Amino acid sequence: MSKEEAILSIEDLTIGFAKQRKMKTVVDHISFDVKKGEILGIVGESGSGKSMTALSVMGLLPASAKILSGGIHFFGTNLLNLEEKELRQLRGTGISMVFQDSMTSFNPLLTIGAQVEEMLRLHSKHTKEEYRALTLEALTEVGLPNPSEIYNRYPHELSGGMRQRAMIAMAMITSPKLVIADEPTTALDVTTQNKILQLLKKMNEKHGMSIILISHDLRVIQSICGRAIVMKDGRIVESGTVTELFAHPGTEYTKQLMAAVPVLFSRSDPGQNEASIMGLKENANTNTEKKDNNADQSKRQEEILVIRNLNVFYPEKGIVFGKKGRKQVIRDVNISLKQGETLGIVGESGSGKSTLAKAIVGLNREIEGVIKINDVAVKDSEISVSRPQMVFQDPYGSLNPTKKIGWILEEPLKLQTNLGKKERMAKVNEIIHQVGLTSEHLERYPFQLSGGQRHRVAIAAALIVNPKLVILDEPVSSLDVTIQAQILGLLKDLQKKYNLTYIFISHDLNVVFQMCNRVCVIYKGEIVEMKEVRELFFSPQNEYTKELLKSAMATV
Amino acid sequence: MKYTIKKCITLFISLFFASILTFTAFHIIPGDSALSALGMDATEEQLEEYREIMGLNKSFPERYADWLKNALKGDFGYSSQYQMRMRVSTLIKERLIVTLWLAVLSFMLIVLVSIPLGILSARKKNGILDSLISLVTQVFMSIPSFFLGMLITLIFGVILKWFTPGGYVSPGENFGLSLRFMVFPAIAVAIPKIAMMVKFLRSSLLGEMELDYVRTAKSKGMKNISILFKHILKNALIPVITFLAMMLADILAGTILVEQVFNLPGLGRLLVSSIANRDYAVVQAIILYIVSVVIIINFLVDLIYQWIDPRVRRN
Amino acid sequence: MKIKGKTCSFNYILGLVITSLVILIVLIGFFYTPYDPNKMNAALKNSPPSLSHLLGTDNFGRDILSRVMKGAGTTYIIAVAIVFIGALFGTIAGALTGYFGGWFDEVLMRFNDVLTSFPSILLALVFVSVFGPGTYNIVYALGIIFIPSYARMVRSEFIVLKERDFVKNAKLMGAGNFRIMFVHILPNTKRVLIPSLLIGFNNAVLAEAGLSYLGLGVQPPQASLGRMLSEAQSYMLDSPWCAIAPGLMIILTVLGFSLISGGLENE
Repeated sequence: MSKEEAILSIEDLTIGFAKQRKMKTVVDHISFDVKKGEILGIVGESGSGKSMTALSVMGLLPASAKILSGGIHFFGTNLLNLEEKELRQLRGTGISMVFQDSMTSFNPLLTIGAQVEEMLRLHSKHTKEEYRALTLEALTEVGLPNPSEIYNRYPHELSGGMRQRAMIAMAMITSPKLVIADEPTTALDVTTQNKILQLLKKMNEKHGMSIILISHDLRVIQSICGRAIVMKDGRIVESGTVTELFAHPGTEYTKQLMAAVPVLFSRSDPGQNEASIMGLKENANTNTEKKDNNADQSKRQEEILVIRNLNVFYPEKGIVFGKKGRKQVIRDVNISLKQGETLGIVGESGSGKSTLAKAIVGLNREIEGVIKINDVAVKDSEISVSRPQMVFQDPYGSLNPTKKIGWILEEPLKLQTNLGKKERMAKVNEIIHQVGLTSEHLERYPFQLSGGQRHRVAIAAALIVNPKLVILDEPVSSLDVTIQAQILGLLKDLQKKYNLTYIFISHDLNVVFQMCNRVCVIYKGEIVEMKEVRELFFSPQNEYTKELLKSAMATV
Repeated sequence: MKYTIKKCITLFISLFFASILTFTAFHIIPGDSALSALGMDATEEQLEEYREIMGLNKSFPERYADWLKNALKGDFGYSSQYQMRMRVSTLIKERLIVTLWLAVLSFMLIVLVSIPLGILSARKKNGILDSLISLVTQVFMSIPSFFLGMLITLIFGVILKWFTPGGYVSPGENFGLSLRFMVFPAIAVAIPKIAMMVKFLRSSLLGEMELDYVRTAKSKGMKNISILFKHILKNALIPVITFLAMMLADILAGTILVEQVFNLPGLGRLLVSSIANRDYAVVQAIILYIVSVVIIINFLVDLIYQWIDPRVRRN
Repeated sequence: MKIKGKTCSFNYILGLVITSLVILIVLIGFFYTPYDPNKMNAALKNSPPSLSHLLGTDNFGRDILSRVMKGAGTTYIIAVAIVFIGALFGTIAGALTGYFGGWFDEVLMRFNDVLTSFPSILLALVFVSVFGPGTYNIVYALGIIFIPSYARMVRSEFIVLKERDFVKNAKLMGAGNFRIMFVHILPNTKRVLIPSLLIGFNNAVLAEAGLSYLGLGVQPPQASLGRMLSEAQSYMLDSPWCAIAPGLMIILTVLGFSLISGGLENE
């Protein structure tokens, strides 16, 4: 790779934040190039420094960040040596940026047309009519229907996908040589994601500009990037062509990242199906083991949860005073669960999985039909010891920020048992150790714990009353890959130890595959398919299930 | 459309509630108002006659309905504190213009001074100028408006002789002179409010500056000043408008005290003297006027919101 | 500057200093004043500050320093009482309506909206004109008038907080509604409640001063800063110290808390 080909060259770049007299390094001596006409991917989880790198190229670092070393060379000029005025000229014409959240990245009070046109007005001189014509042209090129109508619309009136296209139009209207796209598809649903990525690729092919595509999602990187670099904790861990990276990941970390993404089997060799599924391979073995165990015991285990003909409703608000109507959210659901089983519930956002969970737990009482736990109807019984507990998605939200951990764990005991203070504290101590934390953590507040630690506390709080059934709503989605593995491991251990029954709600198919015996798929409030996990994944029957599996997995 | 209708309904309900509240307050007064109006020497017949005329023998809802009917026509009855039988509405009309003039002047001062100051202090955030402005605003918010009025009278009226204390001139007679005089009580009312506005505007601006669309504008290559005026200001002013509307109530309250200090023949002074003289008809009327003005203006601001903020428009 | 590891701004420190000073004066004033604040001495009418009377005397010959000390004390107590009433009942009302909602909440909110159109002085004037002037009356009046703003604030906090997962969790664990409201949710409103108590105190001080100035608040012979100002008004030119002392006292009282709450905001 010759230096002439590289339009952007980052050399030994280090960026730090001054935090209470200490300098925290967020980008640590990284170097990489972007070649003319290529699409380079930067992969990394939150905290890897990828966004900071992007902002530094644009000169948009927050005031508290300092460049500690290195240079950023764009067509030979070191951007770090430029005056603000010169940088301003470069933005838009040389380098542009596309941001993650298109809703907040647009000014809510100005029309889309005005904002896209603004980019043009800042860098070129035309008549009013010409500005408008050029803007409409740009809007058409990114695939927006009715550009003259969109021109007059406000950001909040467009869908996420349309807004993102508009943002791309805005970034490209002045023909920059390099476009930096920071998580451009993260806020979009799967089908729209693909369309936007294809749009970027089209722009790259048509206009020959280079793209830096930043994402935490390997599927996104794989779809259109030629080369990619992997970042972790501010350092470049690995780099290379995308095919190489995926076929033969070099470092442990890259392998872990890959493991989080199941790959759809190649159509050519059906016999290869099971073996070619990356990351699911090893887990598949443990799962078989576990299922054999369960198969024996299932005859001895009782049915713990029985749901029949369940319909769940949401109250609706009237115009002036809260006049009530009802909206049906869940339709005719039937589930039966045996003790020790793990049932997975998958579906897109809005499908009703959380509503179903809340109904089972008793938080939503507008139901018709039967829900019985341990043969006691949920509708009739009060919250009591045999009640199922729930582990919520965001542990920071589920722990009271004004209470110490010890208090949070003691509270369910205070409410549901007659134990004295000493006995309660003994139980609290017991459970905190079981989730892998120490008594010292009991004295802390939630904001003093890390994400993984908070998850553990949330699990402890749910389990301290020995519930038979635990519902876990997206329990690991906000965690980094390495911590995810730890938490899932913890959950499995506890399940074995206490013979717990889990209901696992997740959109992450890999997690579901790892943890569940049976899976049911929810679409628009109805269960469209419910099968034993391998059967569902390898030979799905329902059309929607097939769609879901296809779009969630990367292709080989 | 739904938004407008909802706001109209709220408007009428609020006005209705306000009138009930005002009326009720003055008709639960213990004691016999006939006695207090006519004095201890009045005979029983005179007292009865008074009660008949004032309609004190009717039931509560009837009295309210009567009062409301008349009020809508502009008739608030007769004042009891003056020797001649003065109509309440006449009394009010004379004073209204003074108070309005004062309120409008104060409002203009507030807008003209606080917006540039607010912008300045947000731009120079954490600089010396900002800290200075912050300290000064804190001090001015701590000064009671009537004390400020007294100081202004002392310094500008008596010592510097820039105006004659107590010399009110109506704007109809001599606009220039009237302005020269009124600007001082307006300053007394405005200063504490300016301090609040500057603080509010500053934090609104700073809040907007943190938002994503500012970063987008920067990434397009805009100058900071352009971003401020073309993007940020519009967004930041929206909550400020609500704040201004809320302040209206405060401004009117401020005029009550300041009129006392500067001896202005306005509604505020009339209110205070009526309370002291137990002239409830006048008190009721003034309160209803002031409250209605506030409610109506708030309603208008709510309507304007639709026009300003496209997010509110379609629902 | 750092205190206990937290960076404090200059304003915050200044606020603490001023407030401590004021509180000190108030406390001393409870037990000792250089002269009897109500003792008149015609011979010494309107005398300027001197060694024997540090702040001079007023038009009745009363020692201004003593009156200011006592007046500040009165103001403080009244303001604390007002905020107490407003915050206590306001918080309870806000918690109940915010948590339970329903038509009762709607009605109360409309009512609240109307009340905010009444400038608080106006409401106080209504109250006073109906029930008569006096210290206790203005405490009740202003206390009641302050309830809606606390209720509104606590209500909007509760509306947001009750949807949070930790509340749902508490329900799942079997906590009853009142326990959830006051043990689980309420501590989370500290962040907005505490600054509002300081601001409320300031508003109460200014409102009381205003009412007393109009003659409708604290009645003579009890010393009150507002009242002193109205008495001093006619003598402003000849003996400005009569007005400046009480005025300055009000300013310092309010400024102190204002600076402190400003400092808290910046955390």
